Amino acid sequence: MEDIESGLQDISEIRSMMEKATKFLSLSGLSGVSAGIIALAGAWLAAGAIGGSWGRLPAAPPEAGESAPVTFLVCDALGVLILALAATTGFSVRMARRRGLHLWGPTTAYLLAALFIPLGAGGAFCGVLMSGGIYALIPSAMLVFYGLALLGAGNFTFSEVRYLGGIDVLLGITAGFRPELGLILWAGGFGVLHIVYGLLLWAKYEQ
Amino acid sequence: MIPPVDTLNRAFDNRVRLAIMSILAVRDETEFNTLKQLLQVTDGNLATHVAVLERHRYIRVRKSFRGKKPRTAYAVTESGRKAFAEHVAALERIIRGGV
Repeated sequence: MEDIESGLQDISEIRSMMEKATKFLSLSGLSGVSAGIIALAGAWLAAGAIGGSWGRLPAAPPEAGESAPVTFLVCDALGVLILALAATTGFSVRMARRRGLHLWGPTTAYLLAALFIPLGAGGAFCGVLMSGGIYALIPSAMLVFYGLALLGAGNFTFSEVRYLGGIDVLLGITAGFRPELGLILWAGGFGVLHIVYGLLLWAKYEQ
Repeated sequence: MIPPVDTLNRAFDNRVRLAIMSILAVRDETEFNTLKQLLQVTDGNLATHVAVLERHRYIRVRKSFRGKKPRTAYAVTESGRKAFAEHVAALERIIRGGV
């Protein structure tokens, strides 16, 4: 009997060590919830800036006098990104402390590389779309690149993140075919989905 | 029938050594300090246990310099991977056999 007890203990030790050695476990579901709320606020501001209607972005390049909303939308998007990153970092610091983990552990660099290389490429591609005046496809590109980034990042943190990534890619492709739904799909993918997924993660791991 | 316990590998009957093998089994070369952080043990304790695994040729060590700082990194060897897999299989047999 003692052998079985200690055998089971050994197996669970092996499992937990393998997980700690490969996955970033300081991600909090509350990061997802706060990023989602920030994204919804950003989408609401964007909708106001482009004429008060959800789901309509200018499909043609703006005339000289119309460049103001573009500047506003870029600042809005960057603001959402910065605030969401700040919230995620804050909740991760708290989670690392609570679980007795190091925020900068052996897996943090893997996670950040998996996340930010596709995101950086996506940001640059959005710049390409902007320089061509193809504003209508920007929500689509943001969703697709962010989804791909999460699909990769899911290998280095809770694997549930991959489902969120997969759904975002699908939403992004839909937004590409139906650009008039771009903003509403963006709000769904970055806002509502983050909140739902954050709550699920929180209920599963932090209760 | 309960299989004899001595199919378990004595080199892995220590928690720290078992944990070192678990980490190296799923990672490429891993630095001494990373192992220390993951295992939360002292330098001396970790050094003792990696020395045992090294003597069995289950892990190999590579010393190099990053700038002026010495860097010591470990990786599992082929025979180490095999021995660890056999040890886990033996643990499974014990657990199954005992039910």
